[in-house]
Amino acid sequence: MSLKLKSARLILFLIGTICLAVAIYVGQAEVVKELLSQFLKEELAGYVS
Amino acid sequence: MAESKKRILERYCATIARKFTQILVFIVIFGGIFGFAATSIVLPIRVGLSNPYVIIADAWMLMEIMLTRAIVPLLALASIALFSLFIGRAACGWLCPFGLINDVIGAIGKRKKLSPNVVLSLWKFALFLAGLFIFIDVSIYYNEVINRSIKGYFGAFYGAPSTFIDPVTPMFSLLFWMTYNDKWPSNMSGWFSLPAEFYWRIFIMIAVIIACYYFPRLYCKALCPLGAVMGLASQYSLSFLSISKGLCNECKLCERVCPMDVPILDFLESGEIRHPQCILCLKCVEACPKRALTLKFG
Repeated sequence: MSLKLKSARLILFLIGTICLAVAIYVGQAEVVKELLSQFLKEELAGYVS
Repeated sequence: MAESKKRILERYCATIARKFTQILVFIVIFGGIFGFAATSIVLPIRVGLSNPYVIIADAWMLMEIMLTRAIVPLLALASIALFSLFIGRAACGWLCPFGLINDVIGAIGKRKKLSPNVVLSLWKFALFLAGLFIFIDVSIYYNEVINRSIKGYFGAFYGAPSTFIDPVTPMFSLLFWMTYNDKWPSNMSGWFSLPAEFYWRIFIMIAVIIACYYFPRLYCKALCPLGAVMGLASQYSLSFLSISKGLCNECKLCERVCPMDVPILDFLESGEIRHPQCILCLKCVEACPKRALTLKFG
């Protein structure tokens, strides 16, 4: 297995696990739930100001 | 008769499993219709975020909206990185609701093939768009943090710049919202008073549907920013297709059935098909008469 492949996989794994751990720590799941349960003006561009 | 049915099942096992998964995921994602509450699950799929019936988040839209609200999109980043690492772009082929719509339109469409160079150029174009949108999002984020908002420069699209060329959000959010809130005009003058952005987004949606009729999964190949980013990472994925040089007779059947127009035989020497447009739909594996293609992990 080439060094490039190993390094890329390691970087992806580190980004994924660190982001997941910090997201759990700061409780980002609640923000996601809140965003999911409404119509967001960001996605209704031009219609809702 | 029973034997021929068994043969058909064996022959199309992956397609049946994929279609079943796609339809099941589509139903689960719109679980709000059946009374289920929103979850905190984030998948690298395109379905938009703001439809209240959607109970699973779209990683790309979540990332954009969080960045423009000056929040670091940790769950979206984790989802994109981990899914790319473990299953590459398989989420595009097996889970994405807009991918399913692309597949349905492609199945009834004309199926025109694109050359390998065009396919790669389209991915680079999509990657450029993704980079551009991330740059805009991060710029908005930074300027929000230092209390010097630049949102006004992006007009109605400041909250999620990629919705400017995105057929997903009109289909799954805007049209739902208009129906849900009874906003469809009741007379002719009402149609003229709708905002220009509405017509632009409907135009983009129809244009993409027509394009997908002629070129299967054209949105996934050329416009999907999430697919482009995952394509970059999926080249290092643990899941990949392998091709055996000894078994392959170069009949090109695999390339003909590939909805993403991946030049599979170009990987005959290396033996590992690591192409940014491969969505691991396994159509090539099914089509190969010599069973030269296999799905590998590791």
